[in-house]
Amino acid sequence: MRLAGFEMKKLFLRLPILIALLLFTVFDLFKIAGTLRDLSWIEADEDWKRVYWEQYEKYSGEITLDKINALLEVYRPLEEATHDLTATTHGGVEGTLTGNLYSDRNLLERYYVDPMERFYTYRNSALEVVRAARENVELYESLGSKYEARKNAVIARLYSGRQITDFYFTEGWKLYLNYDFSTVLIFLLVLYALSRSFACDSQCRMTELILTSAGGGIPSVIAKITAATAYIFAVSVWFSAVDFAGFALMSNLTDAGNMPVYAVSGFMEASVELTLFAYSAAGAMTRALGFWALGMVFLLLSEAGRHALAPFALGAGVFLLCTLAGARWGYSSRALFKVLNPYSLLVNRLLYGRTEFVKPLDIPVLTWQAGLVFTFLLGVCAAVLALLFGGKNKLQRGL
Amino acid sequence: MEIRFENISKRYRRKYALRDFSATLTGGVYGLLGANGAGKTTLISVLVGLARADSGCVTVDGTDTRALGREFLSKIGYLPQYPELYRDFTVSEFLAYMCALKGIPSDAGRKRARELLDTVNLGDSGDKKVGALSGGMRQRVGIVQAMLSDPAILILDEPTAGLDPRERIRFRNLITRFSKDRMVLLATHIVSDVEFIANEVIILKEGRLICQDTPQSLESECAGLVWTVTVPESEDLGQFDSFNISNMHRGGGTVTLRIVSRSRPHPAAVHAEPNLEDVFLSHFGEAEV
Repeated sequence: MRLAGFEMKKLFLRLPILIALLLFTVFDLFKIAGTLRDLSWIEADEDWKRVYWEQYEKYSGEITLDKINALLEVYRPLEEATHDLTATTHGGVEGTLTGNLYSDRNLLERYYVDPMERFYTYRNSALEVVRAARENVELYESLGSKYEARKNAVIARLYSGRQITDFYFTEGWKLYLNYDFSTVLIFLLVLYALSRSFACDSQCRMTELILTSAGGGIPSVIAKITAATAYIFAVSVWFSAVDFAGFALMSNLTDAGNMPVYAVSGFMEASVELTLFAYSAAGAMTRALGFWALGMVFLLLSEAGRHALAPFALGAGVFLLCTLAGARWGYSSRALFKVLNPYSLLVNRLLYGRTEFVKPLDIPVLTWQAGLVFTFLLGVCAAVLALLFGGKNKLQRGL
Repeated sequence: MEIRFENISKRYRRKYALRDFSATLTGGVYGLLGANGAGKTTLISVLVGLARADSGCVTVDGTDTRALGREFLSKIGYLPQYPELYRDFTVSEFLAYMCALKGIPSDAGRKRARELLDTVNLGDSGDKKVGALSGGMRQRVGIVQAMLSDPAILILDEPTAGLDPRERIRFRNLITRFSKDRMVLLATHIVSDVEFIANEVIILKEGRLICQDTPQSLESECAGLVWTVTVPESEDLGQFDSFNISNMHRGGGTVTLRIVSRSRPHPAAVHAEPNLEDVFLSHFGEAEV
């Protein structure tokens, strides 16, 4: 542990990294503000914002028929008045919420009617999925297709009992769960720090001293791995916390925090049963694991050069390849490509947001489960290779 | 303690860096002398485990160092050639790190580091960044780290390279101080580094052992081979081109030459007392040094 502490200081607790961490945190907060301004209609328009939160008191909480009827009583006349596009487009119309009929309709439709309908009907959709999956189980069992039968059994189990009983503001969560900028910042900090892990020793001509010390060689590489692991998790968790705090402060995450993750549009087919609060924690740890695996690869690559530039370029190349592969296959139905790409853990909605399977040994495994295992193994392999190639005194035997 | 090198050979591609090198070291200060590329660093690398010999072995008190492994490493203190150390660490932090690497407990390590820093006149530099030290100060920190574990064997590879004369003398004196009750192996191509402090000198040439003996014995082997001759400045100095000239001094309208030669190089030449530099020159020749 003492050695790991020194490695931490040597490689990570350095002024350039601390300055970068501070600057990146500020960038991140600005980017979050920009994301909300650009993608949230109620954040972009003060009138909408005011009206939305005025109406929110009336409709938030448990979804009841009274609330639905009250909402439709306001919405239906607006829909009728605007459906043939003959209503006035002028502002300042009396008896409206925002001053404009179209604006009122759009606001209610986008922020109340559509989500509430989606929440209210979700239970039936889930029941339909469960029914179809159970039928499939019987069908595939009769056809002797064990894999498909098992897969449908998992789907039936996963979707049974799913329902959304409350209505709360989820747009903030949607933007938060689709926010990736901090992933780039973490990548830069991880690559910058780790690409010099071994290069720093050879640049200072310290390798000889380390390898000829009784506790050098393997113990010092283990210390590097330990320090790198602590650093990667600290940086990842830090930015996850900054993201969460940023969105929570600039938008509203707390009201819907205990709703299920499938309440957020884009996550209706989520393969996990978690509340949004729990999901954000799981997502943060998943991203940290993805970065840990990539970090171990960067650590291994840092043994490639006497100077940090070559490992940095190689690491950036690896990340670019993962990103391109993620962009190409992340939203396709090729589940295996997602599982085999650590990028899927960094942008983990690719794994958690849909119910998809891979079939090792004819057993249906959810992509997020397979992705976690594969990426963890990838990290372990890279760490073991770093140990093997990380310098060893010729007088030492074995590991 | 006895270190025995037995028929060590090491080749880099087709070139032998060491060839059938055998020697026995029993204690005291050993000066490992040789021209650049003679195999000194390779020999040290094999000894400390940074390189594996193609053939032969190194034993300590009869046991192969490969069998001793970490136990052997805990006995040595090593200062490699041109160490830059971690520039961002303070001297104290660096030494604490080295203690951790050597498995020395924190408190004992701190105490030992303080004592050693005082010994090398760096007692007030503990809080200075390594990057802010001069080359000589950094070398002194280097020898302090080598001494942290109070090693039985101190191995120094070209420790005075790049140091100014004052620092070189200071460093030489430090080596003498630290040589008490331990074996010191000092590799250098600077003859004066070992001339006054080595108990024995090992001369390497093209990876082979040329000789191993006390400086006095080596010098006495050169008795009768060293000449001095003083000639007028006007005389053609080209006549001495074929000889190994160890020194040439111009002054007062004359030139005084110190020459290593089996035959009298000039009718006016007279015998001179040999020194280690003459021994070195007699083995390597002027062109190789």
